[in-house]
Amino acid sequence: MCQSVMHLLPPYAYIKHGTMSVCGQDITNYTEKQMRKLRGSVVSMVFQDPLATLNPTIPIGKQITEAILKHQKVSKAAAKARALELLELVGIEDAANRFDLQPHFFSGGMRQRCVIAAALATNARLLFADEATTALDVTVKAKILDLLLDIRKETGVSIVFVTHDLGSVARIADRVAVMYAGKIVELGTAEDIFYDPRHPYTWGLLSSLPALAIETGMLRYIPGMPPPLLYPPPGDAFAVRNEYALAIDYEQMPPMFQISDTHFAATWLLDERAPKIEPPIKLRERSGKWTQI
Amino acid sequence: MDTDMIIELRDVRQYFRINDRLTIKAIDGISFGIQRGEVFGLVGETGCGKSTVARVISGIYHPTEGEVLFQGERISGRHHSKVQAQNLQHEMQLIFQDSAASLNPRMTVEQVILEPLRIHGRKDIRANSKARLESLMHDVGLSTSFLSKRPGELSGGQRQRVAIARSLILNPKLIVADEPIASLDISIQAQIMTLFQRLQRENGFSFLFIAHDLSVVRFISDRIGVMLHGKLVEIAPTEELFTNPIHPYTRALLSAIPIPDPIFERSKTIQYYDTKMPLGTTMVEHSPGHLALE
Repeated sequence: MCQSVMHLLPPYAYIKHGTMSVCGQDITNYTEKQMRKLRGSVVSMVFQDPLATLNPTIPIGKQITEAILKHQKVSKAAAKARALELLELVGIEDAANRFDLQPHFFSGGMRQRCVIAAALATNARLLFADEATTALDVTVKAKILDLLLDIRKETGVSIVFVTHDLGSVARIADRVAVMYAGKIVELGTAEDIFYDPRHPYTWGLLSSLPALAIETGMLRYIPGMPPPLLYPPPGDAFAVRNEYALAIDYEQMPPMFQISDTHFAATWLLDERAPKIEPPIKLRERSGKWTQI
Repeated sequence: MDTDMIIELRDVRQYFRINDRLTIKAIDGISFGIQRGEVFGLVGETGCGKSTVARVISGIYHPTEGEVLFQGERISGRHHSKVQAQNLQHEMQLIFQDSAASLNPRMTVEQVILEPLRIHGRKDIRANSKARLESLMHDVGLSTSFLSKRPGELSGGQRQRVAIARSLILNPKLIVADEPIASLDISIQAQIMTLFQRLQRENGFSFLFIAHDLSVVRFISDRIGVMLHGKLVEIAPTEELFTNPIHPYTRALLSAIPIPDPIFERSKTIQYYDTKMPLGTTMVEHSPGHLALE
């Protein structure tokens, strides 16, 4: 999805229908040249593997300076100063001395910080973080999340945080979209999704968190695997893994049902003819039981 | 000698000399033991020496100092013969994080799982390998149709199941799993964790589970050791560690676990621990079985 907005997909990937716009501009049919201008200056992206993002032979500082020079008309010295400032902003200690080191001198967390610095280098208005914290340790992950929140506060950048870690989502997100097999199956505020989830897939995701399995000692999980996107099954793609699937799920794709002003979910369970099902996961009741260490 | 311990590390140090001026102390004086049938979780951040511990235990590295005892028998040191080493591999198996790299891409699943038997010349098991294979595949939740496939045709979760089946075929007494679920998707992680839990209960092997995710380790472990800079900073029974963490680094780790509850999570302040602070040198026992560095 991120790559689609960034126009980073290979040529055989095409947009069948629909439009997308960034800052009010329709970018669906942007050419490569127009996109290049947009990338970095308006939208930026942080990937999962910082080592693959960074060039291993070029010093960190130079890579960030390069990004600034590419998009802004500033002098080399000013760009360098800005790069240093950014490295300090993302919490690289002793940035001045580390400016000329190649990426392999840095730990995974520090590399990811450098990538975030490069992504922010051009005052992007929208930042895609695609599994940006997945490869990191818990403590480093927490620091990067806090860093992203701080940066948002300071620069007002919008962040699309793509992850499968629901704990991180709870910390960082205002709104959450749950995707399955290429579709958004549930959309709502973080409170909607965590305290009042409606889609069986969201239930499954929440129940497979070990943090919630401690009391019972039993970890629930979603059986099976996501369907191949090449030959999607008819009806709801999640039906075969869904213990609450109704007969209609196998035939017809559920529409988006609106639950509240902010909350949407695509499941036939929300149809008025569907049987009422108690969600297996009750986060709201547990809320407040977490203890601060 | 205490033979209740399946494996015991006594003040093990593993140094790597990079050059004349630089020596990396990957493990800097670690002592702990794992009892028979126990699940021991080892946590710590990247580069703290967790994987080195796994490698020292499995005999890939020879520790610079200290000794490793397997069932009361010393297995570290260079006098340790090849025959002994093979016997050891027999009773101890490893599962790695990257199942794509740890399975030979040119072998079929059947060959992969049966390879340990071939290497160890276990004719007794090989004779009825067909039945054994089928029951193993069933145990790890794969259908027998996978036997003729190659690792490249499998998903990450399925490959990890194959790696688990391979580690079980010799009925090992100890399984060392180094970040076995870190590269898997969340719902698949849960599947593999439940699988580990079930297999451990059924087969009763001792299990060293290495991970950086504390909530995962909590789910499966009886006891947990927390590592930092090549040292164990705290070691305690699981619930004790979570309810009464003593070392500031453990507290920092616990506070960093993301909790799937937005209201709680947003208001939570995370304690950070300056990992550059010098560590104490002696472990102090705070309650039975609960030790922490000063």
